[in-house]
Amino acid sequence: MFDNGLLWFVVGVGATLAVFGFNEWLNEKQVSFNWWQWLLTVGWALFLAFTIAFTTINLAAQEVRAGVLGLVILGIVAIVWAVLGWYYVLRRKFAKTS
Amino acid sequence: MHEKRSLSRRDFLKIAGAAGGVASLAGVGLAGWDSGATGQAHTGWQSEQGLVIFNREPFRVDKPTYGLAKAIPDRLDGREVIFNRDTALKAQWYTSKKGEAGLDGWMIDYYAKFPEKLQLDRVRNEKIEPERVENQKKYGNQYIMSQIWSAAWSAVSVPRSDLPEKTDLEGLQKPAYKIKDPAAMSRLIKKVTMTFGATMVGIAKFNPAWVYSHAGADGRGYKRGDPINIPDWWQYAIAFGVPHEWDIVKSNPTYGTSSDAYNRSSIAAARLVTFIKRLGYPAREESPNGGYDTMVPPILIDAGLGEQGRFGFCITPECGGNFRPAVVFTNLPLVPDKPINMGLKSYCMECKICAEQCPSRAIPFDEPKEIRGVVKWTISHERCFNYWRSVVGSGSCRICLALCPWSRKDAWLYNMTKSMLSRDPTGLMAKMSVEAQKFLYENPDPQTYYAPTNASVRPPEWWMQNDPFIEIPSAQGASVPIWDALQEEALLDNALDL
Repeated sequence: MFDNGLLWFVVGVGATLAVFGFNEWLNEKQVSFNWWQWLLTVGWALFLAFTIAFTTINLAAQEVRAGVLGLVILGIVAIVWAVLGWYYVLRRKFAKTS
Repeated sequence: MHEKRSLSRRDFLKIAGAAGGVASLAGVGLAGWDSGATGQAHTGWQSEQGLVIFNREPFRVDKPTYGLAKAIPDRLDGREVIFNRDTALKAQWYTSKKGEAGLDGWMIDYYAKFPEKLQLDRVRNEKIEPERVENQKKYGNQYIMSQIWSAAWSAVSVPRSDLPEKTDLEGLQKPAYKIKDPAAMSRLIKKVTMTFGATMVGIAKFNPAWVYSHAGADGRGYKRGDPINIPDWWQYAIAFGVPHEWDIVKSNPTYGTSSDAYNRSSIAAARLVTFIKRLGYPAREESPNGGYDTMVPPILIDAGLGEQGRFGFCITPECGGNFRPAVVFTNLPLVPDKPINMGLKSYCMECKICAEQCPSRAIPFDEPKEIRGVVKWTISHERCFNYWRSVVGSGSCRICLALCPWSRKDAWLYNMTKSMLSRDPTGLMAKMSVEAQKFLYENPDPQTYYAPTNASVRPPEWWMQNDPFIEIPSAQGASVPIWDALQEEALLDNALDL
């Protein structure tokens, strides 16, 4: 039902808008990323997408335990990744520009 | 008066970006859900469109991953096969009411050599099967719908073959069409076998070592114990597999059946035999309904369909063990495939989930051992079959193939994992994957598969249940002791040492 070209077209458009919107937000805050900071950010977004996909695939395949445990474990990793990224990268950059 | 508010370009992009991000993540989640739930993820159902593809070429090797201790392994006597042996025992020991005195010479010699097998065969006939009859009365109603479904699959079947010199040569096109190019013919055979319903097809050079030395039972033109002579037109073996219905496999053992895949593979084999004969070449099917003169798993492995797994089956990259095979012998000019090494044997050495989860403890935990000149894993057929005969509902079991990590659905997450496992020569991925399998995925307590719990690997889907379709008395709920295979064996004179 959802596994078709239209869905992936919507996902692609959404991802493109997300990148543009995030970049616009950074410009507004007068923050610029170097290559590894972009790498960490895009990596985090892909990891978040993988976390969601891992959970839904397993739940749909009746592997409830794997879906729930995967969401908890991968979700914690994604949150820690986001918090560390904020604390060590974004927060300092915003502090410099304010 | 309200102040007129305008949306700046920057605000628009920020809002659109946030909305796009949420939509993307939701889309990925929906795609994931669909990947796991859709019937398209039921591996093998796409076969007639050729959509199940695992590129075996990078994994081709000159020798299969099972070992050979002899250049030419000894042939298995078909009378040893537990189904044949049980039929003979029932007739000679029980139906004749002569007991041990009713056994023929071969059975006496066999049981003298393997006395523990006689004990387990007797336990099955004298204790387990009568207990199952009682348990079936108490709990069997719950599984009626899957039994009806199974019976429907058995309603259409192919006739059993006769002797090779008769059946293989019937209906041949004369003169035979001259084959231009064996390689092209091999591609054609694989294509048409898929259109007949196969999910994967391979070709092996015929190996007489896999053919039974003697017929295991009356039928196919043989009398039990007749030597099986190999005709000279058995030169190639076309091996293929057809998957089980997915929901049924996951609800093993009680709701399980093999009738669906048995039927599909048998009919595909019969169609392929007709196709080859119409080209003018002899052909013989070795299939669940058509009958066997041969062991099948080593032929699948030789044909490059997969590797032998710990529970004895050929495990394929597409379906794991979740399929039923058939083979066609012929002398149609073909080009054999090479076997593959997709890292399965190494994985099985680490995994052992099937051995841990087998309620009969029939699957070995140790390394492959030599039997008849072949180094391979061999299960305890007696323990396995004894458990089958205790199962309420199906009277059979496929828990090992349902819980094998390689049997997962055709979803990208599982396919990606299998692909990475096949490409990691260090074995590190296998170690990580096994730990993840055991921690993340549910593996029920094997004792719960026995009566009175009668658990299944996963809950049955709606269409296997009686409600809300038919009125039927519910289970009486009387409690009977859980039948414990190991405890039972401990009472025997010679406890088995697997």
